[in-house]
Amino acid sequence: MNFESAFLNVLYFSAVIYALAFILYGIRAIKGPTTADIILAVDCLSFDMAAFMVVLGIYFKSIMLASGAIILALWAFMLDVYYTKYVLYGEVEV
Amino acid sequence: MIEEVIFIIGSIAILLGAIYDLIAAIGLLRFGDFYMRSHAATIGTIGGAAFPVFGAGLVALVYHPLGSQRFFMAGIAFTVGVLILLIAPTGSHSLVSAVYFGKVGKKPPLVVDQLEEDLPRREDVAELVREHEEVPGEEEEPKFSFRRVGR
Repeated sequence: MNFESAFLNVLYFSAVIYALAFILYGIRAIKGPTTADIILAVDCLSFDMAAFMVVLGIYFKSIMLASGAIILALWAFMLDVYYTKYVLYGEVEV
Repeated sequence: MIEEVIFIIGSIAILLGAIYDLIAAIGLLRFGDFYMRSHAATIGTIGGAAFPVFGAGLVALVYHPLGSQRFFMAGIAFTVGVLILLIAPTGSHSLVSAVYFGKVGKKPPLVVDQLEEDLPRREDVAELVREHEEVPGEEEEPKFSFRRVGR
């Protein structure tokens, strides 16, 4: 079993579905009625982008591409916490 | 033999995660309320991000074209998976609580909202604040200070 060609087939299918999902998330992120909807959509978008980045890092054989996924996941969490502190307490204390 | 089995399990996890992701995106676009949308978003983060990342870690363990870097790649993948499992529920829970308690959006379409009955009303809170308001000029002196003594 050739792993390289088999993984290429997996990447073809998953990349198409991931791209479709990213477009749908982007529509919600653009037209969301409130700010919370936008933040929810961007949150999902960055978590899934981190997951897709790890898969791409395996395909392109570079660990530098995959290590950016950690930063992306932490950034989405930072967005949530800052919005919560801004809405509930009126200021963002670092 | 065992390597093929691990590779196939990881590939199935990646494909299933992509399908979860598409379902969550359709739900996020079609639901009409913020609280229902947060339900769809939780499917997208756990089923669509943490699950394929663990699958990618399993694939990277047996993916020989990476050379000896494949253990680094698997370590990064499992780290990202555990991080998303910890972070995503915390973040979406804090976001929903901010929208509910901060009264940002519309009220949830509920028949009975028992949490709202238990919350203090805005007039009561204002009255409490007025009772305990400190008169300016009566502040106590701090017991400890950073000034040097004996100079």
